[in-house]
Amino acid sequence: MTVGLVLVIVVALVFDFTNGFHDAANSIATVVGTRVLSPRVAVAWAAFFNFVAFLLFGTKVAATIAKGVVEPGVLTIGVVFAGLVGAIGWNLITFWLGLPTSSSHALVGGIAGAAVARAGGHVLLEDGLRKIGVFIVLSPLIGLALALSVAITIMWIFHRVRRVERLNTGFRRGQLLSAAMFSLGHGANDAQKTMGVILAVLIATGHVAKTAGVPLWVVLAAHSAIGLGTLTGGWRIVKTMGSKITRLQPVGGMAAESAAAAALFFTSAAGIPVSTTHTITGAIVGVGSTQRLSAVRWGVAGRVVWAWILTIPGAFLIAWAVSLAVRAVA
Amino acid sequence: MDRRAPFFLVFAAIGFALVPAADADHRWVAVAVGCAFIVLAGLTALDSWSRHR
Repeated sequence: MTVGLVLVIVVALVFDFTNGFHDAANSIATVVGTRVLSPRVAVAWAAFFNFVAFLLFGTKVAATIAKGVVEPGVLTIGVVFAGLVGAIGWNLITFWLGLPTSSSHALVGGIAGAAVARAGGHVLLEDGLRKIGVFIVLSPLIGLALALSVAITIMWIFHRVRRVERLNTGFRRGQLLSAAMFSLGHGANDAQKTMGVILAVLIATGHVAKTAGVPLWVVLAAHSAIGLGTLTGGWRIVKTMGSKITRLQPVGGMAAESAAAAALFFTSAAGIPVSTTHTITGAIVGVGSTQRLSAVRWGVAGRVVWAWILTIPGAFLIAWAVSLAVRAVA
Repeated sequence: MDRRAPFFLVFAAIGFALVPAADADHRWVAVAVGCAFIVLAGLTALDSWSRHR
């Protein structure tokens, strides 16, 4: 392996680490918000399930990232490096602002920006980008509809129960399971995006055949990096997700997480790289709207939506500039 | 006034609007999202009606 290839793999794993760090909030915001677990225990719980996700899911999402965003032939070491720097740069900006944006879409925007700067707009693959674009909109809606349905079903089943405290204790325990399921989905869908980037660069440098799957060491490295990132946590975003969008009770937290987990299991199995952030945000809004729409703080939700809209163009522009700089230096 | 039902109808319209853009394998997901929000709009309208009755 060349120094350049090793550097790109390290940067990809750093991106995966920032992904876990940035998105830890998604996995643990509701368990922390409802005080089921302390923040420290919650991140350890989420990190463990992020890591073990590799045992349960395939690598279809990795294939979509490696072969479905831009022409695989344009993915040189320099392009992938610039794309990753664009994605990491955008993640750090939104982390600093406390906005729960999508690391996945930052990665797609970054890779697209770097590839366009290198070879022009014709290298973008319409089918893959369209699939990702459609699910940018659909994933929060799926999360919202499922969470609302789960919450309504739970309310319908337990509406005659008088001992609310006892019921809440049960749901607090249930949240441990739903947080674990969501962390599995997060690990499965998000770690695969880094695997996709590493696979693309291994194919581009001839270390892996074009038709080959993801090597096991890449799978383990990606899941370790995202798990370690989650372990270090991102508290600014936990606050936005856990309490600012809508106040959650244990029953709501459990409904939101199990709904978002179901959506992530489906999309991971179908090879669709969706945003775990978008999915859980939609689910939290869905739970909030079981009461009334005013239970959702739409000002905060609107700020989050703007950050989503700007993610792909923002990461695209950073990666585009970095790609031109890399080209000038190289 | 309960604004959930019209809101969910807008989400249903977005789901159906995405059907032509979705790839053939996943078109059913957009249809299912549209249908789910129509059902949810109906349920929330009934909920609102029963609360005000």
